[in-house]
Amino acid sequence: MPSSRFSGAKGLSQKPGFLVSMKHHPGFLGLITVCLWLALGHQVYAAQLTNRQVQISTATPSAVAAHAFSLTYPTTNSVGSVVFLYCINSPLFSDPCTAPAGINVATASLSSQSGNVGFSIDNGNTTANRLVLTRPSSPGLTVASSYNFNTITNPSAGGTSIFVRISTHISTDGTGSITDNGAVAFATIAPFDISTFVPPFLRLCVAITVAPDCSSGSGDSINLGNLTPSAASAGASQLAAATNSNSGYAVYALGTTMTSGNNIIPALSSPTPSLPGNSQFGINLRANNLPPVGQDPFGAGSATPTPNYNIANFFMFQPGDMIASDSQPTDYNRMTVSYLVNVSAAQPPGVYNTTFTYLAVAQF
Amino acid sequence: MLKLRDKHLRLYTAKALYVSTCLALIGAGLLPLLVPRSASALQLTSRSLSISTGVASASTAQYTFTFTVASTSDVEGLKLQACTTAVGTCSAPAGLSFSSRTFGTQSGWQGATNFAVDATGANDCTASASVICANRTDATAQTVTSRSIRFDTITNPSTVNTAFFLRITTYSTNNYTGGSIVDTGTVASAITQTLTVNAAVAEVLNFCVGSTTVDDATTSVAGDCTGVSGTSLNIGTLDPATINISPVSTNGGDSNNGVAMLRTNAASGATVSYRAIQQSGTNHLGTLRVSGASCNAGTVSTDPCINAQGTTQGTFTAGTENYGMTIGGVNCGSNPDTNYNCDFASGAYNLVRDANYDGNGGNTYGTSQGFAWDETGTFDQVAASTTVVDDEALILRFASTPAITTPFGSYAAQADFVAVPTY
Repeated sequence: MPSSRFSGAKGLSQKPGFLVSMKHHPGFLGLITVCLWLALGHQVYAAQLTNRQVQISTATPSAVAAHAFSLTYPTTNSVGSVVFLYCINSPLFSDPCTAPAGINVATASLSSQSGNVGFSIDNGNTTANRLVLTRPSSPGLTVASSYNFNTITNPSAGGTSIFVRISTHISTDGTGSITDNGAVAFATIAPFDISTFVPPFLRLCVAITVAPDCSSGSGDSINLGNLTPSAASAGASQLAAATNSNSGYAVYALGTTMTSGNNIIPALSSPTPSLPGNSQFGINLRANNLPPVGQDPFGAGSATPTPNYNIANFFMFQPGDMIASDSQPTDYNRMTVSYLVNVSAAQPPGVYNTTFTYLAVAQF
Repeated sequence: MLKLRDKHLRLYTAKALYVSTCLALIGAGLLPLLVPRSASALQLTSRSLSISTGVASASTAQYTFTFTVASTSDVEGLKLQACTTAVGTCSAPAGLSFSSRTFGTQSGWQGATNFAVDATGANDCTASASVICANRTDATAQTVTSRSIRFDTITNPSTVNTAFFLRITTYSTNNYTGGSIVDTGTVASAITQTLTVNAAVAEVLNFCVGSTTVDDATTSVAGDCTGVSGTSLNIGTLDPATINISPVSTNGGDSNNGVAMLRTNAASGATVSYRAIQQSGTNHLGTLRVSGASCNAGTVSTDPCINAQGTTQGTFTAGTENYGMTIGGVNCGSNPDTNYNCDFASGAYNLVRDANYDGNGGNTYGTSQGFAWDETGTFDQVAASTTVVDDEALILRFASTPAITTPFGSYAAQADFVAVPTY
């Protein structure tokens, strides 16, 4: 192309008479000069805008988003306008532009700018897919520049690549020849969902010993040995419970007092201290020293023994009693159930035993 | 009569034969006198002309003449004449100019003295825009071998797609006397039309996010982004005794991982980031939560928002409420290996994971390094390249574990993935 410029000039110089005549018409010569300058201006190749990118605040289709453009001007050519043309078919300026469905940059606001500044949105020349920035035409600076827009409506289709053709112009309305240009791209993508389900939890474990989080347990029987009126007999088992029920949980002790055929060891109907020599059967959930048996509740949870079973050294047992509870979601608590047995001298001989079942109830 | 005619005919024929023979003998005897210069010249053999550019009017062309001399005589003068024809009257090719020619280099010549451009010439060689005269003073006998000499800063002929010829004459004297011609020969070259090929490479960005059953770095996820589908995955029913890590195939899990595949020709590379979409409710809007629920600020395990790991990667403990994501590996199964080698195991890939989303901390597929999740709604970069990327797929693995107190219900998180190429 430059060669044609020079050949054109040469063509004029080869007509000396023409030139001589123009010397007498300086105005006409000036007009020719202007025309030539304009013609040559159209023949200058546009340089590439460099380091260009667009960062979108959301890739969600149809979302109202912020689009932040970064680019570096490659030349100091005068710039009076910058055009951002959104196309779905091609980033090439030589191709026709197909506007992405749903795109709307007409509502955009210019939130900030840097580098080559002084622009405002040219609302008169901005359309749904063509955003024009305007300023009085002035030389560009070869520096990194940014233009951040808010309230742009993303294209409505997901899974597509959108190209934004960026061009600078000497004119202030985005028309005329392109000075510098370049394209950027972004993709619209539907939000990605990650889902899961948390079920109702009610965890209860019972054994002679259990881990605080029910991860282990062992043992299912206690042998109290030979009962004697002169000393209390005691043993212990453990249970742990937790729930995510909003109303917490309750643990019930089901079973009977110790029996041997028709002979029974009477259960204590209210919290009562251990009295060796008196037939007694009872439980509690605390650490005791009379007799030394049991542990206090342990764990990160907030459950507690019910009051009748929450007094150290006092025992009772009412079949079906709620022995521990919480009124809210609670992490694990490990409860140690102490079993107290005393017999009188008149207690009939025999092998006494009982079976306890623990029931946890939660409401979801 | 017939005999007489025949006799006369024979007589005429014999006379014509004698005359022709005499003329031939006279002509042969005079020829050396008429054309004394070429009488002893032999043909240069294996001769060629190589020009550095075939562009018309190119002004800095280099012309390299290569030939084998036929005689062993010394060579001290060279005449190179450009013509539009190989033989006959010489017309200079339009536009060709030797006016600025300079001596370039020579090789294969016997004798240590190089030729030099003779700006004026003498006798049989007159330097001009179409004639190069070069000489030296070196009487070394030549061998019948190949040699070359190059002249620079020559302006090519201006007419495209036409041939032109260089007539070469060697002299045993450095003043080009007619009687000192040693060998001659002609070479040809051509000026061609410059062919301009225009092409445009458009900016490319193919970026997609979906779900996949692929759980390694080698199996192809899809041919390219057009084969990536799905907008969700399910990591199944949580249990405080375990850590659910995608893909989960039991208890409601859909056996899927997430995948983010990128292709771009952005020479300055690209970044891949995600943003936790803020859901409705109170506090912890960007984590795995029950939509619309009210959650407490801070780290709480009794509200319907599973605590997020945050932007710093960490390992999970079963039963300690947590939610996060990592990249198990950079899957090269969809990379065609045509543009560059892509192999995760050997570290040959362009899309590099951010340290906080590097599943195994190396080029082994997995999640042993733990997970991260930024619930704030700001973009957090998970991978980046510094050059082009061709269908490399990030295998996204999501993990969560509840506390025993985590309220029951359906939990969900949403992520907004973006790729930002820099062209």
